[in-house]
Amino acid sequence: MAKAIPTSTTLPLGATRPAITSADSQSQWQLAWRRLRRNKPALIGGVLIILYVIAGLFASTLSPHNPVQANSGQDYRPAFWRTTSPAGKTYDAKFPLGTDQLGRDVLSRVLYGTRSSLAAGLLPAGIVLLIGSLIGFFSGYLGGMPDNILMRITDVFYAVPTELLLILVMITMGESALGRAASGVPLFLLSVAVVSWSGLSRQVRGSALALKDREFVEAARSLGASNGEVIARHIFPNSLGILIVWTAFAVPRFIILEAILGYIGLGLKPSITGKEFFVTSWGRAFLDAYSVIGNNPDYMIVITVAVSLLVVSFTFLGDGLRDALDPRMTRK
Amino acid sequence: MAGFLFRRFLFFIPTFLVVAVVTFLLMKAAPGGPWDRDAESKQVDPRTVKLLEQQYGLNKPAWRQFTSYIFGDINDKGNFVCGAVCGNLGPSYRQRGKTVQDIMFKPPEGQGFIASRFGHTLRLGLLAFLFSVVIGVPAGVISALRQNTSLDYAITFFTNIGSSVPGFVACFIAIVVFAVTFGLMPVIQKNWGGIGPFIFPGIMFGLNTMSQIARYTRTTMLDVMRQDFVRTARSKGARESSVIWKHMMRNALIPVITILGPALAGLLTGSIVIEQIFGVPGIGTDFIRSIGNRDYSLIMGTTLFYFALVILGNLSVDILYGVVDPRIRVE
Repeated sequence: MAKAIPTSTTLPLGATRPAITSADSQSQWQLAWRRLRRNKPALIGGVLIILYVIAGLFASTLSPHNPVQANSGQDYRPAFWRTTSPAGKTYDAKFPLGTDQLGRDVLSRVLYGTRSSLAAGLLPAGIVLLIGSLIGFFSGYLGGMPDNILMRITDVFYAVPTELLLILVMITMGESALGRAASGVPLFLLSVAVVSWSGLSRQVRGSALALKDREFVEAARSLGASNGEVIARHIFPNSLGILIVWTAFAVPRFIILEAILGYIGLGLKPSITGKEFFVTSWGRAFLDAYSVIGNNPDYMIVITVAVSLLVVSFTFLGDGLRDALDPRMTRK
Repeated sequence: MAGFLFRRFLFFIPTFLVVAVVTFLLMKAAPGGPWDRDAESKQVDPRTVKLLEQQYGLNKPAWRQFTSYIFGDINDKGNFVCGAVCGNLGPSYRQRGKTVQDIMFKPPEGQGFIASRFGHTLRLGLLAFLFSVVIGVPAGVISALRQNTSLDYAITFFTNIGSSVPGFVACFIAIVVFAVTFGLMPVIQKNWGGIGPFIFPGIMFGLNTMSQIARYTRTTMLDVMRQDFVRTARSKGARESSVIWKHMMRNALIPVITILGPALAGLLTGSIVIEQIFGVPGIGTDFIRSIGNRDYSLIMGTTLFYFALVILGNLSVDILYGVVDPRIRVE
């Protein structure tokens, strides 16, 4: 590890890097991957997230039952670890995780919920990455008046209580055309993006500020690179770590926001036919599970375990990524 | 210092106005109004609606409604009535004869302030805050002092999970375990008097903040423990307890204190959902009900009040910074 790692930072823009032959020279990303591989919790988290994504994508194939279909006489079945539910119903192998008050299959509902909740976490993160980082990069790199104005705007958004504004938006806009489109997913992701872009913008701006006076950026500028080119080729790749780590921590936060809104009854619109892409969400599951908690607590156990496991996976992966991408932070 | 705080305070004014305008616009854009009844029940007579709108000033243009709510307006008798900036949050549309500040802050007849709606929210938030500081800070300090022992690993593992599982989920886990499985408490409390009923929801709600404070304290402690001045203190023969308390803690807790203000604000405003789960009769419950009812003044009142709490939380950081860190003297 003592050998110096060749970097491209002092290369002029457009020049080809001389071929590196030494066997132990590795790119920054290879090094990061090697550090990440040694981090067991982060790896387990990553694998679990992949499993969740598969479960969400193939919810329609994996579900043993139609998630909205009520089965009369099959209500309040317990999950496999219990023989009788408090409502007096016995376990039925057709419903491995039990049923709710209408006899709907909990496993199928949670699988479909995985799909909606992952979308509720990933899509807003995508929008924020796009808008928030663009604003942050330009604001930090250009400085001056545009920076001042943009930062005052982010200050305003930064101080706004997220949950409060989301609840307000979801209640007031819920019945509008936007609110009814695609089970309410577009409204949710837009409003989440609006209230949460400022945090990322600030981080990205800080990174751009720190990078813009470095030698390699000055070299690129003196060779005639435009502002856009400098940002795309030098500032952006060097800030990628911040963006990745932010995403790993933001996605679970958005998933929880959806769960909170769903629990108040403001999340995604419930489906009646089960034919929509987003049939039900975890937020809805919390609401349903809480209403049957006395007769069948297994539903609540299933949903809290499902959510906690995913959220913890993201945190472990995020911690691992942060350590892997910024080795200075782990040396302690 | 006073001048600095005043400038910080001035800075919040535009933010405050933006929040007020956004809330007002959203509220007005929503279909329906405060006089709507359920479709099945008897509707309010249109003439009555007209009178009511006149009485509450809803017949005025929207911008005028906004300014008279926030700043004040001249009433029919020609007197100036001050608005939200003076603490007058207006009459509630749905709970007739009550003003919004009465609903939020006035306790039932013959009881103390603590029995008011905000008193409930305050008790829940403060209890969660107290729990997270009293447990979180020592846990972080001990974890750092005993670094790489099994105690440190246990605390780190627990706080890692605690800081990623949000209070919302922790509350449900707790209800399943303690209320449903072991029957140690009722799922929904009936009587919210005193502190007793709040202890359990408060702890579950504070678990997440507690873990974050513990993690943060551990990091700052580890940082300080390796500083030169700690080695100097030891080498000049200072007692270990004095090194820990006077040299390490004093420096390690400065960054921790800065996150306490926002943490308290977060616990007071974030309790909206927790109030729903445990059935706490606080202002979070009022907030959600008021939006559904289109009780315009109550929506504005609760939103602005919540926002004021956040501002206070942020301002408190600046004050505390100056108090605990003599190096910081804002000019």
